[in-house]
Amino acid sequence: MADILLNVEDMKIYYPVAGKKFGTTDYVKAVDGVSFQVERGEVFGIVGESGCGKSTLGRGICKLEQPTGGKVVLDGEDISSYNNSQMRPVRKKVQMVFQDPYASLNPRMSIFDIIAEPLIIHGLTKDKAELEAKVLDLLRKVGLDDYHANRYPHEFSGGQRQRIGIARALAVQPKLIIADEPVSALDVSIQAQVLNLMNQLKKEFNLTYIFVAHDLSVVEHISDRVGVMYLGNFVEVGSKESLYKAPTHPYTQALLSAVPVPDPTAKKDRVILEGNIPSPLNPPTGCKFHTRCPKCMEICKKEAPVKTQLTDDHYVYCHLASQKG
Amino acid sequence: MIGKKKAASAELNEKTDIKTPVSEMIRKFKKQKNAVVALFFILFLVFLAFFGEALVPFKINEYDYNAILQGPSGAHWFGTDEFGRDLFSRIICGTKISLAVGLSAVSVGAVCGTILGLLGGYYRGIVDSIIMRICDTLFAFPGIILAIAIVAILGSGIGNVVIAVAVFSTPTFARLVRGRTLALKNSVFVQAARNLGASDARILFRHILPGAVPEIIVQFTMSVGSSILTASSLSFLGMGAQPPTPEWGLLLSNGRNYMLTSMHCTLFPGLAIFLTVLSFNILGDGLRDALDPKLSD
Repeated sequence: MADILLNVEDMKIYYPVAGKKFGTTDYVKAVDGVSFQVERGEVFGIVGESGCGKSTLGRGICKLEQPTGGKVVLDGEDISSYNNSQMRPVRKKVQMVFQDPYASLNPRMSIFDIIAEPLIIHGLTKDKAELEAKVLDLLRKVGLDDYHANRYPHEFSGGQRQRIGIARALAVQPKLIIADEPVSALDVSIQAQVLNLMNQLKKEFNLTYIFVAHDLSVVEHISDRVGVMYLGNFVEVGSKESLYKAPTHPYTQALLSAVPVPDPTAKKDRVILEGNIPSPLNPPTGCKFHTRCPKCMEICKKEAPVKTQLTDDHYVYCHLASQKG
Repeated sequence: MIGKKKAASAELNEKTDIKTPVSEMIRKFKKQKNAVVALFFILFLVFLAFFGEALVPFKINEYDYNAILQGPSGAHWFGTDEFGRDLFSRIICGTKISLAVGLSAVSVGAVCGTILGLLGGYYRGIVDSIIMRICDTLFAFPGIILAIAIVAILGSGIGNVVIAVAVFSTPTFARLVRGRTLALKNSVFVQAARNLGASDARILFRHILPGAVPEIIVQFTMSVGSSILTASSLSFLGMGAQPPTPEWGLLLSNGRNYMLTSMHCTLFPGLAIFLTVLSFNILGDGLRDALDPKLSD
């Protein structure tokens, strides 16, 4: 049995909204019964289009959203029912890097104060000198200079701000970092720098990442395993190699066929999906993808597909696969 | 906080020219000539409040029955009142009272309102409803009527005027701060702070409150002007300062009886109130423009 750092079982995050009839409540099912495991030291990538619940899932794990149901076991500790004060010590183990590096830094705090904050909150340093040394050390670790400490967020470029965000997350020496689209707000050239930095830090600090993104090539670059999400559920989860080489779910195939190939003469078999992602308020019956699936069958409209194991580290939720197997 | 920053990194300073939010604000403020003038006038009033009594040519209650109701002259710059007291000296000495009433009342109101606004906006629910409904009730009264009602209950006197003005300036701050709290509560950096494990108190006072400070400063400055006006009005109506205190509203009220014969008795106290309130309003406008990050140059 592999060394499981995070085990998520049947996680549900529903948002109540006013129902169509007066006095009733409907639910937006942002995350609808997601289960997965993350091993210590791996990078688990989550991809999917906008609104599929990938960010919500990440936020649910670190309790920025209160999950409606399900179980989260982090490092052997069941944190599903923890309240805010119980979560406080757990926050040392799981940290988050946010999508918008500017919005996630308080514009009225200097970089020193921003990076020092987690150290102060968790009482990780004995005195001022140690605090100062640690903050400067973290700054250098993410490729910034000592003199940056006194500046304010608005004086930095996007890439530098994201480095600051990473330094803040690293301050408590977490085991798991949930990176919620950490590079999608950055220029492509800067994306590579930040990704390489994250890779390098991962080795140095023995980190585990959950990497949420919508950019398939970014996810391919950094991840060991990849999960593809559609409308609040995983449709296919597999190791990077097997998922990118042999995508099984029609949705994964469509996504991968949309990745640009740097060869203008290459022939592409693009799978074009029609229509928009259905409303999570009123998801389709059966397989949620059936409304847009090019290979839709009768059964897809009625029954939700079950998990089908293709190989040891590759499984898919699709009737096509389950019928073959 | 600033001290810590300095201590933390004296050696880090060398390579940087720091552009802090504060220095940015000062730069923008300096561009507004009106506001700078208003600021200097207010600083001058503050100076008078501290040292005016020692500088004035006559004592506050120095009667001279040979010179009653005289117009402005070399000896009495603003003329004299019905007891022959020097109006110039009395107005200068009154500065202290008006400023003290305005500043202390608004300070109390600002602190109470800020705390209520933070609590209401952050915790929402029943706490928020109670606080905001009380504020709505207070808003329903015109300020002066409310102040009169409070003074009527507590009795007249300068101390009660302060309380009355503080009570009616509280809801303005509560509403303002609640609005900012609601906006900032959902901002990413507040979520980031929560994700770091910050306590509610830390989030409220380190992350949300600093974001509301510019608005509070602007509101504070504006409110001081209107509070001075309200306090003077109460004194004018005989509910605030009692004779022979040289309160501006009271001077105005006394002078009213001689308005047709000795206009200076009402003109100068009125001018003092007018200029002071105007200065605070202009300063508030200037600060608002200087503190608004969206108005860049």
